[in-house]
Amino acid sequence: MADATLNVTLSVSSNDLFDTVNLSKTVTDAVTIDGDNRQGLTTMVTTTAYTDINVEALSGTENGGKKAYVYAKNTDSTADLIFADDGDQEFAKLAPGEFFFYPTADNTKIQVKASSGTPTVEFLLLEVD
Amino acid sequence: MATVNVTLSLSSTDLFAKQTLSFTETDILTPAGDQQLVGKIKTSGSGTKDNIALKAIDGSDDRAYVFLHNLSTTTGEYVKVSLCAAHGTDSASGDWFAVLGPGEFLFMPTGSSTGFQDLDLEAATGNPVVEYVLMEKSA
Repeated sequence: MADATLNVTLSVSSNDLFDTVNLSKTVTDAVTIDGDNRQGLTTMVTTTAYTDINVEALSGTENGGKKAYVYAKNTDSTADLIFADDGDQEFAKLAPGEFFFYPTADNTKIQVKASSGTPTVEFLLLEVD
Repeated sequence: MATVNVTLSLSSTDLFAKQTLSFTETDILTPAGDQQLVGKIKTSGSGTKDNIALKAIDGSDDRAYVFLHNLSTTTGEYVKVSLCAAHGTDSASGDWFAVLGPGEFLFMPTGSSTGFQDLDLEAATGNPVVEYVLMEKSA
């Protein structure tokens, strides 16, 4: 596959988190996607047992190894989504409507399960070589 | 209760031959924990882990909203990000869940039902500076 570019913009702002300063930060990046796993925007129904969101094991060697950019959102209105790495170590919990974007590394897989019920996860996973 | 607005936009015209990627997500957060931090840290270098929480992250499932940005522009100065079981202690050796290359950033609602109380950062080389926002979700 030819290399691709993912453009990312993230903004965080608040005028009442602190009394004396306002928070307003926007960051942008254009990252190169050159890995084997290139999974576009996907939705999947989860259960209370872990399911991998990557199709094949993450295996790249750059920047800490096994790197991929991952976006995920909890589209449910009641249940949480729980994310864990390849050692079943939980690292994120998405309440209804919450999302994350991060470069995973050092793990061959990303797992997700529901706190209850069968909420739907929306995700994108783009591996770096 | 304070509100924090978060917006994420992702786009690409060449990821897929038959599909253009372009979407934006927004959320309004209401962090209500005991610690709300904005900071910048010059990492100590390879072999030394720097914790970023001021005290143990607690509340339901130890949740926190975390934004991290590696300000380095030097190739190779990536930063490993790990969760720590106890505040002020190192994470497990060789066990990181995220890595920030030069210029890269992340946003994540962290949390764990088995408990974690802190995050630490370790540079692969050099002393990259990391800017961060840590907002504990509940007390």
